[in-house]
Amino acid sequence: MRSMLSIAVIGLLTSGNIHAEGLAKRARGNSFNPQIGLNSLFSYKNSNKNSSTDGFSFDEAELQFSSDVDAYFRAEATIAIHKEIEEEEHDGHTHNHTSYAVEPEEIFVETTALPVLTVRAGKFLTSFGKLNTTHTHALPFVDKGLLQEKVFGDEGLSEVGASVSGLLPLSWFSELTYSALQGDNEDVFNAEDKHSLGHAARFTNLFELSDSATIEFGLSGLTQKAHEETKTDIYGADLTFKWKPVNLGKYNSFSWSTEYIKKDKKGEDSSSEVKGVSSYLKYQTSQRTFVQYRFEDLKVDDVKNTAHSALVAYVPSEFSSIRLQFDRIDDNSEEKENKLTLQFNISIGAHPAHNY
Amino acid sequence: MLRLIALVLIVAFAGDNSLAKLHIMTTTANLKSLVSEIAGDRAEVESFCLGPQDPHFLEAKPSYTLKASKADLLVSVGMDLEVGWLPLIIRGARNPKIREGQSGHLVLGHYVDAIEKPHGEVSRADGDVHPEGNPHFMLSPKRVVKLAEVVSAKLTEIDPEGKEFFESNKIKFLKKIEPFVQKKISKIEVVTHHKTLNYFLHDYGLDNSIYLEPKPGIPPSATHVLSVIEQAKVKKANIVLVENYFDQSAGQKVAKALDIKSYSVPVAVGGKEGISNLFDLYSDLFSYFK
Repeated sequence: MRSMLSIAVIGLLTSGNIHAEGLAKRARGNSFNPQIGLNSLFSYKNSNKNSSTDGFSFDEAELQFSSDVDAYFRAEATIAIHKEIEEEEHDGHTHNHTSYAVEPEEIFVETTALPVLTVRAGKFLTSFGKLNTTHTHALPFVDKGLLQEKVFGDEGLSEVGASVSGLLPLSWFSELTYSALQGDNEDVFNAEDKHSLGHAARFTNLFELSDSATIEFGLSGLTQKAHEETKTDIYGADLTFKWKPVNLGKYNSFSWSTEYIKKDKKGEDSSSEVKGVSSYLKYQTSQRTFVQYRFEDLKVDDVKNTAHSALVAYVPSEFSSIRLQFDRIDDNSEEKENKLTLQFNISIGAHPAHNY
Repeated sequence: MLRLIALVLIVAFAGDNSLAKLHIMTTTANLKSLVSEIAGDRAEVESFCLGPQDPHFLEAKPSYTLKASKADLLVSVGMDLEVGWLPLIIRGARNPKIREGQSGHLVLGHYVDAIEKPHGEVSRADGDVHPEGNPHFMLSPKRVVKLAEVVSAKLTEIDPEGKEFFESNKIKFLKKIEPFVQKKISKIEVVTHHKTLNYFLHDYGLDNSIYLEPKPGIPPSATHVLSVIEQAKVKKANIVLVENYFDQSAGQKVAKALDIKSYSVPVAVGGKEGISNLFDLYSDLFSYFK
């Protein structure tokens, strides 16, 4: 009898152990999963000119995964589900057809064990200027702005390639990034030949004016050349001033960022020239509220475009924001465009730290 | 012109001539004070977060990246306190030594028996919750005793020649901290903004439960301040202590309604003039509990 009992007790104990082991294994399995986050953008828009985007809309969701690969590499993937509007001809009328596309915004691997340098390979947002490497949910305004859109297209410049970056051995922050790209973006590249790679470089410097203020100055360049008639050159310069007081900096901050870009794209079928400036001010009025203003002035194939944008933001936490933006765009056509956008921006899951 | 360029280059590259010294970066000013006491003049210690800044919401300034790139050791709090900015700094530094898990990165939170670890599932609906518990352990002298040992052992690991020096500094530090460890505080009811002082209160036998924040990281609304006033009246609160990186107005309202005093309390070294090390900080902290 006693032995029967002890067998039963042992049985119970071991089954408990098995259960605990199972739990431990499951927990261990999860701990190697990548960090997963989802950022979503919803909006309500109204424009007096272009009604195809009016009304409620789910603009984009970004699924982000990031993790160390092993002791030498880390990987990051951002899969974007975004809205696409296509015009369709039907019985002589044009209809707008909305669909959603799933695209890899970025999928790359980079080194973590190398000293001095970071080498990156995959599909990633090219380091050019201040805004191109910013994900949609982290943009300072609800859109990228005219200048970015005319130079790099709606989705920015994210190409397959490789890059090397490093800090220069100076007494201030000075970073140099070089990227070699397989140029596919039609807004930027013309060359059909797969062997004519695009080359991009960014040189950025940040100076601490005080514990509360910094100034950042950057130069960027991008070039691709198949032959004399088919080539692209883009140059950019940017200057950003930021102020956030050491005392009670949570409640007050200010930044002013200005960017100049010149694009010269030559090709047999399509050529375009874009040059202009985009400048914005951002002022934090309380812990959760911001007011912002942006001015853009550019020439697209010698046609002058100007835009004024004003934005107020209410930011309940790092994971949500509600923003109202008004744009007045003059593209030199008969009618000026007035556009109002109310945007709701949320993040769930892991939320990687944002760049400065 | 050439001479000017040469001069600029010399100035630029002459960043540091103290090659022999260890370069240590800490995430907070309190960690900096602890590490400097033990490392003495064998190390240059610098903190990313300055005394008056809130370590939860520091921005990942690129200039921090440069400092981290030259560091032999990085000392952090952990427990997700620096999660919003430190990972970017470490990545940008391109200094494999200081990556988390490597010997050049000491996470002191790993050596603390944390309080306020959430039970069950954590959700962001509860505000800025830390799944690993409350990260403000540096405010309790009793916790720092053990951490001094940990820091001394780490310093010896990366600079074995300094072993005896670190050991004797540690003993000096422990002697200086002992009176604070032995101190008793009066049993009063405290109102604070965030759960910043909880290790201090917990370790010295006080049970504080009135917060100006409705949930961690969420600023108090006007209606919440009214409910705090009610709570404070019921519990007969004696004092309002608002950490100095928060807006003082909500605390002042509560203090006024109860006719008690409200203080802006420095919770990090350098958070107020005259507080230049942990001992100054603890003296200031105990002064509210006489």
